Amino acid sequence: MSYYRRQRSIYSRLAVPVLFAVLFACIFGLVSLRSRTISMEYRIGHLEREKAEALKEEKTLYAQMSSLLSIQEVAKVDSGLQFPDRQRVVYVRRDKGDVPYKASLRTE
Amino acid sequence: MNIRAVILSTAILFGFVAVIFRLGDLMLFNHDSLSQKAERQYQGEKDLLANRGGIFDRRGRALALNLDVESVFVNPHDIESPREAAKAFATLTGSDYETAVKKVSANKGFIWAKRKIDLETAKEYKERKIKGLGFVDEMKRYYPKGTLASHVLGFVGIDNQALEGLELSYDATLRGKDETVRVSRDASGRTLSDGVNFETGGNSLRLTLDEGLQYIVEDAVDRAMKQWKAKSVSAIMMNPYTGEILAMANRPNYDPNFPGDYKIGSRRNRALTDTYEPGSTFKIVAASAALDKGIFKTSDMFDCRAGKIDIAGMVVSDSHVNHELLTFKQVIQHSSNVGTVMIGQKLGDDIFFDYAQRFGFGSKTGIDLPGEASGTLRSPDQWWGTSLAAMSIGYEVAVTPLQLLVAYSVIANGGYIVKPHLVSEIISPEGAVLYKFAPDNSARIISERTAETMRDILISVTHKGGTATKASIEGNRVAGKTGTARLIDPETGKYSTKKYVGSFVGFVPADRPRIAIIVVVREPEGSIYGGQVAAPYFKDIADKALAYLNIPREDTFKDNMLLVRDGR
Repeated sequence: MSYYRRQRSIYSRLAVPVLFAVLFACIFGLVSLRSRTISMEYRIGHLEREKAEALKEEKTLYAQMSSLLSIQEVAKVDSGLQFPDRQRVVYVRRDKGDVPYKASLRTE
Repeated sequence: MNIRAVILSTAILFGFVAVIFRLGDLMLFNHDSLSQKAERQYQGEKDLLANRGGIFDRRGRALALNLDVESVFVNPHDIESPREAAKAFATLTGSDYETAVKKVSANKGFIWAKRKIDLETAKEYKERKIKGLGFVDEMKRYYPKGTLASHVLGFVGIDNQALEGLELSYDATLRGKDETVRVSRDASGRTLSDGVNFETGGNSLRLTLDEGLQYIVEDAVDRAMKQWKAKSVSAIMMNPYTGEILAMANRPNYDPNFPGDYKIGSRRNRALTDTYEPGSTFKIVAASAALDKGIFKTSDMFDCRAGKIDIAGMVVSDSHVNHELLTFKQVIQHSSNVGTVMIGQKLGDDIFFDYAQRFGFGSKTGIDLPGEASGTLRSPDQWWGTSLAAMSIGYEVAVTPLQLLVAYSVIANGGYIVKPHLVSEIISPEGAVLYKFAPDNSARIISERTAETMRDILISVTHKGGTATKASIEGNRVAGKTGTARLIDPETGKYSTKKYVGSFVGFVPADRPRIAIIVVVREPEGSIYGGQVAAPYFKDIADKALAYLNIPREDTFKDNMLLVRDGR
């Protein structure tokens, strides 16, 4: 009997510190989790700003590309566009009724 | 008990009680006001500028885009170093230093220094950290192809308000809506991520226009303008079956990136705003009506040997024709005014007016561009004795180049009137197709037989003996008609003997038309005839366009034509 009483008294003595330890661990965990979430939000916010900057740059570069690839520009740098001589063109058409021809230059 | 322990315990107890009271005060009694205050501190608002939708050609090539830019302003009250601020202001605005000093010293809270500068320039100024200089995010419309298709695209103002062209007619579709989103931020104002998509925008337009064809037309009108020292030149290319505008160009023109640098007249889309008396190109109305009503056959003869005809005191004469007996077909082929007047007289007022209306003259075509003119076609009760004769040969009526092209498309497509249009699809920012143009070719206005006969007659115009041999191209037959009309001299109020409009309108390949084209040269110098000033440019455009569109020549060798079965 006295053995069991002694055992219970050890558990009851340990219970309070363990409960406090668990409580502190939970509080610490919550605070840590919140802190990490906030820190993650900072990082994501920073990356979003970087993404926004990159998108702005992408728009500018796309506009530059569109301008440089315009047929007017190509005609300027290549001293005039030459259209193919249709007598030297091989026309390929699928047997599917009235669809446009694909064309390529005939090689001699 | 030790007295000190009692005091300490009491102090701790009071301390706890005070904390509990304060917590109660914060959490129960002042909760609402404090939580609102906290929200104000940690929540902010961010303005999202709407991206104006893009405009793309039929192959997806960009014609109008948005760029992110920044505008710089000055707040004179915040300036710490007036010298530095004035220097920056002078560089930005291009003004001299003294003027800049006056500006930045003004007793105002806000002055724009420079609107819409590129991001790199803005960054340079930001790095200088000049007190009193502020920056605002803005959007700038950018037209990467410069002057190409400027009259079609139109332009926007400094605040992105639509002012002309498709920008104006589709403003509600393109504009999008500026939005405000709530974001979380910390005490120092840094924003945290809320997972919000910071992009908002309007819908985009996919046009029927093709950049390649547009370039071909622009290049031709440029050269026509220079060669004939003309006051203006317009040209349009259209699919005669669907009404899809493939190209539309005018000279003079402008760069929509800098519209303010050009005269108002240069910004006008003359292809649909400027009307003129078309002259001989209008003769298809009388000819089609006569054939459709069965009043004449192509073999009927007309006595044009006198070379002139007197109608109620007005003498109409022929300029192109050897005075002889002409068949109905030859009347149009040689563009005989005398013969056409005879056809018109036989038709009578009502039939002629009915057919002119059927071809769409006197009313807008309904193209999706602003500012279209409806032209002038008076009803017979407003005509006088010479009106029918004059109208038969294209006077006393006013048309736009676009109306005339639509009328010729009727002959090209077998008798149907088409509605010209420029937008084929409206696409949402997510890429979904919200609208797709479906052509409605249900309105037949002349019989198929009449259209076929007229097509044959118009083919003869470009053959030997016709007025437009310079419009014929190697390898494909061309159908079309020249027009040469006098302009009214504004000083005398009478027809000028010096000012003319020369034009050519037609379609190619004549037997199975793929494109209809009109070229109008206003007030050319050196020559006046449509067959001289406009037909060669029609040929130039058609020749290149057929090559660009991979349309074979009629004489293409069989071994140059490969038919692939089942895609193999």
